[in-house]
Amino acid sequence: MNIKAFKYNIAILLAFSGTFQVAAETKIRGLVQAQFVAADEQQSYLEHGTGLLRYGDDNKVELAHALLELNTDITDFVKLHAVLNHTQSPESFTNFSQLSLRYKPILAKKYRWQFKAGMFYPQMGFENPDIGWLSPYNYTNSAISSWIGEEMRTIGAEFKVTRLGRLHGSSPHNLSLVGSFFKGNDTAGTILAWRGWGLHDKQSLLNETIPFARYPSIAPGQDLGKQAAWVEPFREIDGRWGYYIGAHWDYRSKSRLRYYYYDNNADELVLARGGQYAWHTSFHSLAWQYRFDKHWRLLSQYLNGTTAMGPKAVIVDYNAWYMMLNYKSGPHLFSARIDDFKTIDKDSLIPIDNNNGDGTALTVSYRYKLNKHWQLGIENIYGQSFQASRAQFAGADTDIDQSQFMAVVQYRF
Amino acid sequence: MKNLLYITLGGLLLVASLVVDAAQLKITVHDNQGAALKQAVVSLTPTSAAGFAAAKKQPLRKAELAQRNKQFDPHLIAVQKGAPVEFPNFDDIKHQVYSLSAIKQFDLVVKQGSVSKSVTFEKSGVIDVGCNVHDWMSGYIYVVDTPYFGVTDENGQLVLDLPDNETLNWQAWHPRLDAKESGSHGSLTLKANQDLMITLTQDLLPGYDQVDDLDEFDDY
Repeated sequence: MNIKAFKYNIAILLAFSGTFQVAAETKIRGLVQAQFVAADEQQSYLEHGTGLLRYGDDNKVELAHALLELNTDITDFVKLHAVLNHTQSPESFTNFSQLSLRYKPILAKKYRWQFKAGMFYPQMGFENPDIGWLSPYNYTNSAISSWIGEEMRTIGAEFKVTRLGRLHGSSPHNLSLVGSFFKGNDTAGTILAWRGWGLHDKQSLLNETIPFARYPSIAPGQDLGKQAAWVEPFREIDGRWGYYIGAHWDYRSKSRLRYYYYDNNADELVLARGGQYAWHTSFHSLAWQYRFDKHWRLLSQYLNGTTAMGPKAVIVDYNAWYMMLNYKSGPHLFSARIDDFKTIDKDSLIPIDNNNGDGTALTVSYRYKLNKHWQLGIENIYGQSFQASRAQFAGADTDIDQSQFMAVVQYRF
Repeated sequence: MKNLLYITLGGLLLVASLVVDAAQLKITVHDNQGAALKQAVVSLTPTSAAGFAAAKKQPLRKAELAQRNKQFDPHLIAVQKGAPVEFPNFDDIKHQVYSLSAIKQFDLVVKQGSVSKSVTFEKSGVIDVGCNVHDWMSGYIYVVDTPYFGVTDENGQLVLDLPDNETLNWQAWHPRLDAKESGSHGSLTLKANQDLMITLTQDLLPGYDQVDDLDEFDDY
């Protein structure tokens, strides 16, 4: 079944590249990442546990990523971008994580316009510039990027207009405005409400299902019994459009700031088949990257928002921030990041369903680039978290410590 | 035998004319703070009819504006009207070099490791060059209507071979001048080798055009 799906997707990918071959130049790149993981006994949310990491109770080699990225220039101004991923966690699954068209005309002298349509990531942070939205820094994403990777994708259209400072009296400041309308993000917020913030490098793929623990408060027969113990991140449930607006500021590529306001505009009273509610989710995000010099850079992001489901059934505020210091010299890359995150239960209708949680984590990574194909690395992550919902399981601790060590091999072509 | 004599005489005259009629001008450009100014364009135009005629006979020099490490390299080139300019791409990715400047508009896709078809410029003036793939890339082409021109080096210096015994109008320009400014100008009569010190009196805009230390993670 999955092999079939994989072949089908490969066929689509090749058909795309084939169709435009006459006019276009196609570039295919790929990456495979395998890692030895030593994780403590906390079971991962991906295995219906309450742990926040991708792996739990593991001492084995895992295939973390297998992806193909295709870039086709359909015309000089229109580009097709596709990323096809294969994953083995939680289950073997293959589909696109990104599939979009970008139109970047040369229109007016002083402003640069860009239009995108399809399925793609909003450019909220700075952590994921590598192929397939991977992070070139830590292997495990920050809590914020983990959430964006699992529950967020623009399935719609986006414009971006940039005022290049150099065309305005040699100003060192470049400014961009971004706006988007999208669909298919109605369930965003589900996983934050129960699992809380996670720390992983798992990106949800088109039509993929992401599990979390089977909390008794959402068991059949309970007030929230219609909610499934998984989320289908890109389901369209209420037919309404969501939107986001953003602003980018770039000072000589040295200091870069991005602000976004996101609102999926979902109708929280709508329930779809498969136990998927529409969650009305909105947040502010502010990200900053500062480059001290060729070697050192600082990345940071702060996100603060709220999500609600049902008639005042679940209301959760959430916020998180991270700060990462990165040092790069020749083939060596060191990254250290601190994460801090919180979810705050704001409803009182269903007392057993307590969505409070908070935590911190320290992630330290080292990567060594052997050559243009091979890269080796290690990472250690240590986190402490409190999640009130863990108390729903008899004998479970609400406070846990988690650690995970990885030795990673990456091959890219 | 007679022919050979004429040829020899002619050859001697030609050599003599080259020796007598050329002089070196060493130009140094400073900004109004007294600092030596690199990447300033200095061009000189003869004023006599004979000088014009001699200038016309000078061959056109081909120029190149390369793309290297996702930057234009060099940041600025000067070229004579009518001379071909090529845009070689030394990167392993595609560039799309374009100009929307009033005096010449063009749009060239330059594939990795290739050279674009050449562009010639029929009007003199400043052309602001960008890349549609990498918005931070910024370059300038300064088109002059004379064969006598050059760009100053790191020390703000430039040496030109020029016709001797000729009065020349000089013009100095820099990409950090405000778009409304045309630069400084003056004239000199060249007799044997000499120096020319130029000070741009206008304030220069901050030099923010070039970002030197971008890496592969900045293209996001």
